[in-house]
Amino acid sequence: MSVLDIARLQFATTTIIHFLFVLVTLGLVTLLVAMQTAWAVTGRDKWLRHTRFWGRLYVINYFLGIATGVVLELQFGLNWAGLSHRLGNVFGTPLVIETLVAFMLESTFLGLWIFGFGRLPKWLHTALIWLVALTAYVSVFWIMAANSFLQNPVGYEQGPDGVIRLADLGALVTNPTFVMALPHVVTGAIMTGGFILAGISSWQLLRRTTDRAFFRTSLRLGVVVAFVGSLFTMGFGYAQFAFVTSVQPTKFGDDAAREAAVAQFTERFGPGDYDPPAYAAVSLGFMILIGTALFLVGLFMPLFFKDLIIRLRVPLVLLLLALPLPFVAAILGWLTREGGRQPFAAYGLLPLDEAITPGLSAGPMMTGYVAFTGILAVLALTNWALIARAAHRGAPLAPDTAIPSAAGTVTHIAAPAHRVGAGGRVATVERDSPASARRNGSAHTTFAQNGEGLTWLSY
Amino acid sequence: MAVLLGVLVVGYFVLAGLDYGVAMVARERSDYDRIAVFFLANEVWLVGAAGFLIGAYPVSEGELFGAHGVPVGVALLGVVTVTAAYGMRLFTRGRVLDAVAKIGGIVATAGWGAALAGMAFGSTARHDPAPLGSALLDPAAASGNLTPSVMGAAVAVVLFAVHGWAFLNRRWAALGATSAAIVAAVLLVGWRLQWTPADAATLDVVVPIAWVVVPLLLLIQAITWWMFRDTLRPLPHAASHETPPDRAPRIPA
Repeated sequence: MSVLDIARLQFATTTIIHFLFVLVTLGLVTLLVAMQTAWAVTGRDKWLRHTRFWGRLYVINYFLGIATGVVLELQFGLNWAGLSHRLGNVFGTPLVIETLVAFMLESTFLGLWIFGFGRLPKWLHTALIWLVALTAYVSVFWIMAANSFLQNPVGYEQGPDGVIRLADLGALVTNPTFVMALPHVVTGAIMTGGFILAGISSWQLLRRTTDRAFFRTSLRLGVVVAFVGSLFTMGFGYAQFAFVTSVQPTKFGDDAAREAAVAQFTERFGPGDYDPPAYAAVSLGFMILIGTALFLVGLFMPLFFKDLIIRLRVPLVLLLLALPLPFVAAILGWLTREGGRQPFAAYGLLPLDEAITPGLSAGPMMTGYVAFTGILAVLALTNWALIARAAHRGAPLAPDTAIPSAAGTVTHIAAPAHRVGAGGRVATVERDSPASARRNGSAHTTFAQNGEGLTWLSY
Repeated sequence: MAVLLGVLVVGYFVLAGLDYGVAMVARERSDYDRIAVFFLANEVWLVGAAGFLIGAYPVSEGELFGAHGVPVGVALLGVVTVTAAYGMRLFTRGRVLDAVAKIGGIVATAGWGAALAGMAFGSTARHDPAPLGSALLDPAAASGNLTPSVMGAAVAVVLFAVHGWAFLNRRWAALGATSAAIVAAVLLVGWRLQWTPADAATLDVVVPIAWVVVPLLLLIQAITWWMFRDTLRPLPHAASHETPPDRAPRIPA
């Protein structure tokens, strides 16, 4: 494999793994805002339990996913110095806005939210999750603007040295490849959040959880959100075709437009293969197929009547099986979007072979690729295992908002047994399931208040 | 603009130095917990610094990371490892994760030490604004004098270890000294390098935004430290529940 192939493969692999995390983060944070706001407004414990249960899954995903974004960001410098050199003046602008305005603030707010549970006033803590969600959305906005610039470079003027300058920031956010792709990605993530709620709730209801009312609520919420999200994802998805075709003739254009573009590229960049790879078209077909199937989730809504959706059980099985599908569809969508603009790093402006860092050698590149892919794959698998475990354990029975007392002793119902010492007498306390937690609901656990305030996470 | 880059990079190394240093010298589980509250807020400075580098110094970013890809890559592997380990520690306890965090902290520190020393004293320092990638193609750089990198890695590991030790043991004067040393090292590297800023039109957008956000971020992070200031007090029996199971105190049933 050539250095260029390895660099492309590495970026593709990292992005795909990264986006699996993004879908969960963005989908769940939207639902967390709704849940925690419901708690803040109504004061009902039910919504606090939902906030904590789904919030735990969200935080697992965030912590294990954050590293994938860092790897992605630094790859621009490591492998794609030509891109930074030639297009950095424009491409870097949305990226720096994203990191400063969105990501750094998002993570700082999230830290406060995680450790502020039980320590901060309810309204302030609720405001924090709004801020986390808001900054997450700002993040998507600017990352999509940066990506859309690579799809269809706009808002720049080019000097004689080939280096471009920023001419119009506004053009980046009115880019035809941006305006419909942004809502497509956002609603796709919200749809995924709905399927996560529905799928996990289905698992709990299929195993006849004792916490039926809790998961009945999240099942219904999940199905509705999945349906509405799916509707808008499809709408914005189809709406993209006209926009994309107008600026990327070799992606979806008709033969005449495609041939004209290829002739133009040949003239400007020399002879070469300017047709996108076949996988871009194949991916599109399968994505549409999956998207259409997911849309049928709407058929389950009438089954809310008399809880048929739960009592029939088949819908629960289907919802559980559907859980991986939004992720598969999203990856296929990205393969279409990114594969369809090949062989360019920036469509019609910067061919791939000019974007890569010159002088890289294949040996170290391959070593780096294997090492990073290995560790990122471990992160993704660990993430799913931890989420599955937390989802399987269910929600702690009583909301634990007690502020730890100065003596360092709090009442905490739901600590895992190993936290109190397997060799101690308390080791007889089993807390593996909500049911046993309930049986032992009066057990008290002490923990040294190191300021961790982590107990709500480590259930 | 250089001030902003300086604040972001110094912020990363001083604050994340605590994460890595604590991981390196931690002996009890509770030692790791004492930085865990601030971990996320510390690590974000890396992303901010890298983002600002891409936006405000895109050419320098490509040259620096391109020429020092190996140590930066190693550092990144360490950062990924230590971040994942700290994250997982929130949900699941085990000595394995503590060990992973320790290894990640050491690798990240050594990688950054080698990268910074290579940037400051390697053959790419103060190079002419030559064509992109020339540093890599330069035979002198390829044959490579590894001494600065090895030294840099060693110094960084020792410095961060003391940094973490000072934090854990509440030796605020020592912590001030290690922080000052880190600031000095970062500024030295920055001074030794040739910086190529982005085009004026880009800076007109990026720099004002950074001047608003970076102070705001400092303020919010300061509030975070203030809010969790009780975790900074000396703890007479810090390890009471975090000790390994065989040494765990017995709790009356």
